[in-house]
Amino acid sequence: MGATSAVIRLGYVHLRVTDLEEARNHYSNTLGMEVVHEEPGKLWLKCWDEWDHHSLVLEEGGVGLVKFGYKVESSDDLASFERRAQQFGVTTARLSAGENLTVGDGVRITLPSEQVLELYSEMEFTGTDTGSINPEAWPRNVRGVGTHWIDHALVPAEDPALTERFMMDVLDFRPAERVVASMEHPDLIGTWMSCGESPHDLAIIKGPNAKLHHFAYHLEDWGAILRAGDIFSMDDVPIDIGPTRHGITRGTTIYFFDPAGNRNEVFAGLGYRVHHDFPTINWTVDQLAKGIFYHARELNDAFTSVFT
Amino acid sequence: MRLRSGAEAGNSHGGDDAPPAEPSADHPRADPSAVHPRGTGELTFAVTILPAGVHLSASGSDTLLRALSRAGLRYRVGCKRGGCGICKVQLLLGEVRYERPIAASVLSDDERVEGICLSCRAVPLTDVVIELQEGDRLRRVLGFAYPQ
Repeated sequence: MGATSAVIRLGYVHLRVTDLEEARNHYSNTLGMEVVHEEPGKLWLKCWDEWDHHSLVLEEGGVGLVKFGYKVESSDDLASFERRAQQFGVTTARLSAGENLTVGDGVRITLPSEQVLELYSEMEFTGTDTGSINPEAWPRNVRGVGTHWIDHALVPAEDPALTERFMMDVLDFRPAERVVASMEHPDLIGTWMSCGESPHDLAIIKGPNAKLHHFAYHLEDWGAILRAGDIFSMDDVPIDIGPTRHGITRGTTIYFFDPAGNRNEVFAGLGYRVHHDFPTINWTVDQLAKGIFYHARELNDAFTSVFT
Repeated sequence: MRLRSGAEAGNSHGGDDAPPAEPSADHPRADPSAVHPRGTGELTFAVTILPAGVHLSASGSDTLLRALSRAGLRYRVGCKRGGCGICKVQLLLGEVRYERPIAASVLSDDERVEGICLSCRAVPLTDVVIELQEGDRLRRVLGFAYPQ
């Protein structure tokens, strides 16, 4: 399916929240992230099984996505991606080391769908909570849901095909699953794209530019998903859908909203591994309900219309 | 269009509104001669929803969404936390306040002036009359508990 991508993973998400203290309570107490740094109006947080300094930055004021960051293998890759992005025709800018706390040099790209995507190769290493020497399986004292790591994001685009082409041609992502109008007229409605082996690292669906649909946390299994749902009820967190399974990626999932209205996901289940010879899965839009709600097979209109 | 009726806030059921349809026990009546701080939980406001013409009570510091949910009514909502704008309704009469910050990108000043309110976060300050967005309709999901 193409060259191995030098993009490793989704490394960070910067999010706007209307009330920082309510957001702190949600991300830290309900979800279990640790606040690793704070400044007036801004928090940096990290999950227990992540080893870089942080994965979420909350900024007080407004709602929605500021930007996200994908880690790449090396600084040579940064230069190469910058050139390729410029050739594609999108706006790029250089980031100097330290512009993002603990992050080295980088490249900022404005996607065709107007979200801001940053690439970087270095972030300060702080280690997972369980450590790298004879570790336990999980940390005893993690709060609430205990999310393992931030895994992927889904963004809307007025022209999903154009952003898909950017992700493929410039960043070497591969489409693992796509939603098309029909097999005869495969106009793209949505695409789940991978830079490694995971079913998706970034997904794009038809919708307004510049917005966020959700970003997602990994949990261990279906039992952890159920427990997360229980905690959401205890903490009065509104649920969008779930607990259920997605047809797309086979992941088990709950979608829910943070106190500002940004949508989060917890999901579990590897589904499959996307190798070079993985045959892209296609969904026809008439079966999209099964793709998103594998059990209920009925669309809930909030899922396809709520963006921040 | 908004009608200032703050002076009647403590007397919401003594006026010319239709009696609320909710089935619960009497709400404590506020003493109209006393000064009541907002959000004590003792004040109640009549909420009328158009175009269905349904009446109910909002108690204490209930948001419009919570008041409707308690009465077993559903309508079009999204995140329920003020971030997506899906639950906007038209405020035809009365006043509301917001206890939490609302992003300007979700509800602009122009919209507020036009009387548009975010029903998941709006708390009535007075009796209110609201109208659902075009194409939305009220669904009664607890019909057995709240007979018409």
